[in-house]
Amino acid sequence: MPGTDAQIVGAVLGGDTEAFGVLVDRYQERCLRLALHIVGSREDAEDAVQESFLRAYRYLGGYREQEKFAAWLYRILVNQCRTLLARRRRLELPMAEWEWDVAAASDAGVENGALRAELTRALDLLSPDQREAVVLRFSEDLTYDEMAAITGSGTSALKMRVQRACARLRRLLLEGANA
Amino acid sequence: MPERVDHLPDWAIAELRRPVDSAVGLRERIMESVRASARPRTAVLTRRSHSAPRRGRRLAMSSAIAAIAAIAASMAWMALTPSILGSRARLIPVLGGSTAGSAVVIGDTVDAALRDTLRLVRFVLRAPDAARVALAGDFNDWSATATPLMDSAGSGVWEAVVAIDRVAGRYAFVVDDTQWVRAAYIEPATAEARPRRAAPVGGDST
Repeated sequence: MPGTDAQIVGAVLGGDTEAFGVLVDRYQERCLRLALHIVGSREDAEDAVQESFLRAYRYLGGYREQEKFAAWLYRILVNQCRTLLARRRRLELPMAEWEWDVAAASDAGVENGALRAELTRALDLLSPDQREAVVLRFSEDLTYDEMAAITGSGTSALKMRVQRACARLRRLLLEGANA
Repeated sequence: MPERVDHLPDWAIAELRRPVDSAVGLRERIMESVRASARPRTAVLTRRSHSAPRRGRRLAMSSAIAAIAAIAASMAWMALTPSILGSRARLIPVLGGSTAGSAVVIGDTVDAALRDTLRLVRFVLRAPDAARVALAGDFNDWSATATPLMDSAGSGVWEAVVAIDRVAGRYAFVVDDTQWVRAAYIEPATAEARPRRAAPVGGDST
């Protein structure tokens, strides 16, 4: 079904539930990538994406055409990821490492897998706020204004988080390369 | 030239932007949940218009949960502990269908010396067809027999009050010695936390 996001939203609100599948097709992969980098676990990322789309559907009436649908959806997704991370902190489950080991093993090249594992190890050592900010900034190439709309944080705070995250990541990646 | 403060190595940025493998069945799962959901509202009511009834419901729920916690705390007082301070509680519904369980944290403090580590938790499982139910978890090294639940009223509601020396942990119910029902996680009750529904985190497993 062709159309802009707003047109599809209108169709869904008009009763065409299946039209929502177009939005799922359009944003599922990007949402999964974003969630994966924020939460570090494939299983949690899929849960976050599924729950986010369901919430987006339920509250679709709250979407306003002036806003990019992707940004609106990302806001829901980031909140879901935060919830998952908070729950995991309570559980203290060391799941990220083996999840990514599996992903790395399935990579076409061992080198790519090693890079990804290295990056993931470094991301795991960031604070949740820093990790979220740096992923939004670089994975999705968002502006700070867009990030502010998604996270609810101010642009100055986000810039500071990204700067600190970058500095720490560079140091961690350098240590990993020299290890 | 000074190093840019908000920059990462090119390979790291490329890695962050690399497409991920599509999740098998994720689209179908999303659409199934969407189809099963109520249709979205075409007009969203403002938060203000909802605020009063929502507060009312929250207060009602808080009162109900506080009452449950008070009963459980009384039981625990007699059975397990010299002192229970406070009645903060959090209800964690975990499963739907014919088998449903919950855990209520009924006291943050059991004894001054153990103030930060020991909690009394009331576990409840509704399993009308079960002959035996036990509780296994991090707190008892996942023993399937060490912590039985009792159905004292014969109503199919199995209960146990357990002193747990961890602020968080996983647990499961063991029904009729063989069926493991993965349940919710125990969450620490805090003074700031309001009782709320916790998302189900698991289902039946064998």
